[in-house]
Amino acid sequence: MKRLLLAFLFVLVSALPALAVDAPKESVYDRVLRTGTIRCGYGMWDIHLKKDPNTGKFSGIFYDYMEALGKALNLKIEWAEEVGWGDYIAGLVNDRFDAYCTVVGLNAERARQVDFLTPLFFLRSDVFARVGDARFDHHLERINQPDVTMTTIEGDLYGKIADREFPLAKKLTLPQLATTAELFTSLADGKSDVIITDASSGAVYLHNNPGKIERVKLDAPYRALPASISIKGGEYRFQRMLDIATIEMMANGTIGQILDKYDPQREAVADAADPVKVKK
Amino acid sequence: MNNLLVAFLFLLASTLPAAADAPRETVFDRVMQAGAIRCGYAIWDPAVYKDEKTGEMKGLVYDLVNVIGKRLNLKIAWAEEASWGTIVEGMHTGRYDMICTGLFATSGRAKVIDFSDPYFYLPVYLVARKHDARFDVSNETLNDPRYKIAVLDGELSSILAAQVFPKATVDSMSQLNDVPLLLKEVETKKADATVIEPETFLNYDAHNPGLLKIVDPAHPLSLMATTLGLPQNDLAFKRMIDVTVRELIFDGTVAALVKKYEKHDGTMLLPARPFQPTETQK
Repeated sequence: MKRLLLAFLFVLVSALPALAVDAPKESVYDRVLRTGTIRCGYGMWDIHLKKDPNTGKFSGIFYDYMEALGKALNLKIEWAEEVGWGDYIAGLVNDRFDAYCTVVGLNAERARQVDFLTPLFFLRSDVFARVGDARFDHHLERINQPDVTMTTIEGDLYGKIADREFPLAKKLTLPQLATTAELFTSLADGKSDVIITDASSGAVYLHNNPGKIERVKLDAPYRALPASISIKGGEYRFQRMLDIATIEMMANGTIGQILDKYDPQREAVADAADPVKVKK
Repeated sequence: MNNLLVAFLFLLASTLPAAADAPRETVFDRVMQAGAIRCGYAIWDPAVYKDEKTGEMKGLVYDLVNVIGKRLNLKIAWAEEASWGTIVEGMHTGRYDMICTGLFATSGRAKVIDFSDPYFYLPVYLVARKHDARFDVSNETLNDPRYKIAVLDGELSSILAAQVFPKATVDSMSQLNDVPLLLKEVETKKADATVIEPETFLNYDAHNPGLLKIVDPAHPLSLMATTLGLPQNDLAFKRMIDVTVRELIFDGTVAALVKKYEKHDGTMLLPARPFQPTETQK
């Protein structure tokens, strides 16, 4: 009997680890508050985040934003790991860093795995035509005609928009590896009549090649894509903490000041709308 | 020794159920594992409806949810048609993951379910008889027991009447009646006014011209946020759907769907732009 009981006990005890539930894993929120530090993954892009090759110092909209966020929350910001937009999700999921602290466009594909904060601002997309060609000013429907040619890049976001919204326009499609500069050149050289692309690249081209192309005049940016930083999915407390601090910084003018510093003419970004109506 | 062992065994066994109580699978986990979102839906033209001739499903929300599926690389299974009265229960019992029809986000429903971000707003107006000027100066005039407001029990009209005109006398009818009956009550002077969305009013007005009017067309009485119904306490699932809905608002997909399905201008209002245009953009 004793042996039987002992054998049963042995089986039971050895099965326990499989039956027992693992201790709950520490949340990102708990880890950040315990260490007093937000560890950032980051990618470099234009005015959003850059590093001086000589001094190693960071600057850019997202550097200033994260540092201000850290100050507001009394947390240190550690710029832990440079990683590209194609690989950052694994870094968040595997807890290599707590947030991806560079401009990230919110989209469905990423939303399957990670989450985002309230947009700080919006990334503008604009429509460009040659200087003097006013056919499309305030009349984008004019693009959707067979006598209009659009240059697009195979498979990119703007190519899809062009196919969907201007199906009747002819398309001059550049290969996937084509650069934005090639897109602008094809327009400037008269191979096409109009292109759609991000306003940031457009601002650079306009600055370096004055008098060739211009923005089509519209009442608002053609598109404005929400931009914020990305965090691990399902981290409600962490997200709320960062969101509330961000909303506070939008309300007290900190975000506006940062945008004024890096894009005073708002060539690349559009401010978030005020949440209140102001009586005139 | 035997007694000691038996006591130990008993103690150990009694702790097992708690230890083995694995965390319940979330809707997000279930959806990602299955690669599909199961939809419950109620019929409402123009949100989700069936073509009378072919039986094919159509509608703004039908198209919208199918695009959401494509963007998320998830299959959409139109799993179950439900009535408006039972559709929430079906999600609670796990028969489907999401309510895929034009669902108004209301405080009453918020106690039991969650909602996606709104993809359009439906304005609701006060309607009175064409030559009745009593409510023209202010809607508030109606908030008086001398006036009667026609409502359907438990439906949008009764909720709004209770919130906005709590002192008015209520002419209440069963939810089994059709919404246009509210307009007939006003026309035949059984009630002084009702609250209704403009599509129903415009259809009625087309068949009965010049009898009724929208009291203040520039100022809807309320805006109904039209959403998808989501399970409560499932943050990851809600955030995934919200980000996708916003993506479809920002890239013009929702505007194109409203253009396709809106029968009269101004009956479906798109969400405002969340950004500010600057002088350089003009």
